[in-house]
Amino acid sequence: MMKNASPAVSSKRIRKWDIFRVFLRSFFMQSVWNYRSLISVGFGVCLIPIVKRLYSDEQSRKEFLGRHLKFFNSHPYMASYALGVSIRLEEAFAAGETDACEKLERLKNLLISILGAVGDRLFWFTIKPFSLLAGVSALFLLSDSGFGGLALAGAFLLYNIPHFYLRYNGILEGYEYGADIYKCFSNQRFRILRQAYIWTGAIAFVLFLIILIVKLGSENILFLGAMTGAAVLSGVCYHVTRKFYFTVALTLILFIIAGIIVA
Amino acid sequence: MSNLLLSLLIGFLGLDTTIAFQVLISQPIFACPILGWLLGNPALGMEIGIMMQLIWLNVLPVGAAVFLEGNIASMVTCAIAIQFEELNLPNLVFTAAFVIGMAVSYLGAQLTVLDRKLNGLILKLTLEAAQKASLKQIALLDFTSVLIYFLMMSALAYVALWGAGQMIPLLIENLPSPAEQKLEFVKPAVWGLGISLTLPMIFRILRQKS
Repeated sequence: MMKNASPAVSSKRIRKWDIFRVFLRSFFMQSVWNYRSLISVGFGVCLIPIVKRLYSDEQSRKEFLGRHLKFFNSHPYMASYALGVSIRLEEAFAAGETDACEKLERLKNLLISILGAVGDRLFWFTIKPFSLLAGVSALFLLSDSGFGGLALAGAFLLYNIPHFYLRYNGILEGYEYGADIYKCFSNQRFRILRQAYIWTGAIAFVLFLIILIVKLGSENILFLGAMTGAAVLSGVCYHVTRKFYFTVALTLILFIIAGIIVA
Repeated sequence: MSNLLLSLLIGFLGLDTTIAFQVLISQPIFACPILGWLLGNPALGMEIGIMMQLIWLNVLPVGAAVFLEGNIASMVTCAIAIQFEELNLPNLVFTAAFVIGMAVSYLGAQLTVLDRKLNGLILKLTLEAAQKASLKQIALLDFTSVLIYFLMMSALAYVALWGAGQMIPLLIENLPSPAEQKLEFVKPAVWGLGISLTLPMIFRILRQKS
């Protein structure tokens, strides 16, 4: 563990504007994703407004950067919580609380798995796919009526309202709770949100399937047959082989042959 | 719109996948209608966007996993389909665009790995800048990394669009004349493919929930 020298005690306090600047920079959290330190550079870059606010001497800035450019990983949105905690404990350290840095290092290591697990489950496996499925259905339903843009705006908001909220609120909560950040992650938190997205997306997708079947069937019954056949064939092929390109190529080739035979 | 401008736009939208923003504008359902609108056919942009979204929905750029670049691939597919729309051979053009898109998804994945390796060098330079407490240099290195990815993906899109410009006229010249009719099952098959890749994901999440 890196020992940090106590900085010259600073009376400078973090302002809301600093937190907002960290929030803006957090949109580039994964910009320097690399195999050695994962998202640490993005994390460190997010905290530049904080180091500027807290320290004016070179030595303290060097130590600050050293602390935050070490290995770190998290879900990119949920990393906001770690940013908030870091801001709070760095502020405490700058104010003379000498053990704040050790606490921060331990906490950041603990948060890697918690934030990754919560974020992946909430966003990558729920909000993202189900918002997009709802968007697919709405766009398919409305594209002919000229309201396609409205469907897209709806899907965009469906995803980005919780995204922006957690990104910004994560920093605020991390800053507010500091070392007690674990209190933010009870088992039940986000449960209702997840359920709402899962059911909205699933129902929307069923609706989409019904409309697609009706549309293709009314256009040409052979198209409906081709779609169903391709769905079954590629479903089985992918389930058995787990090879994406093989499945795509096989489906494409077979249905080109089918087209040649029918023509 | 020229291929160069189009490629730069695709590269810019592609940043959203993992590098910057992550507000989903790179997803086919958003990116393809944007391209469709800019290229003068929003309806085709939306149709291809929906189709490609179903195919690539399952791909998650999580952690260190090598993920197929479905977003860039979808944008390239959409751009080619709209650019060659005036040939009035929708099935042939869509089939060619889809195949080129698949190649782009594979090459995009390889370029992402290369970009992540190059980022190792950026990390090294960043640590050196940190030793000098040079905040400006650190911010500049961060921006350089974004720029490298943007240029890589733009170049990939440009090569794909240029390749389509060479390949599609050749196909028209060399394929027997009723090829268009013979390819009429390709679009329904791609719908089926998308559904078969999406449904297991939905069932998996529903099972986990219960």
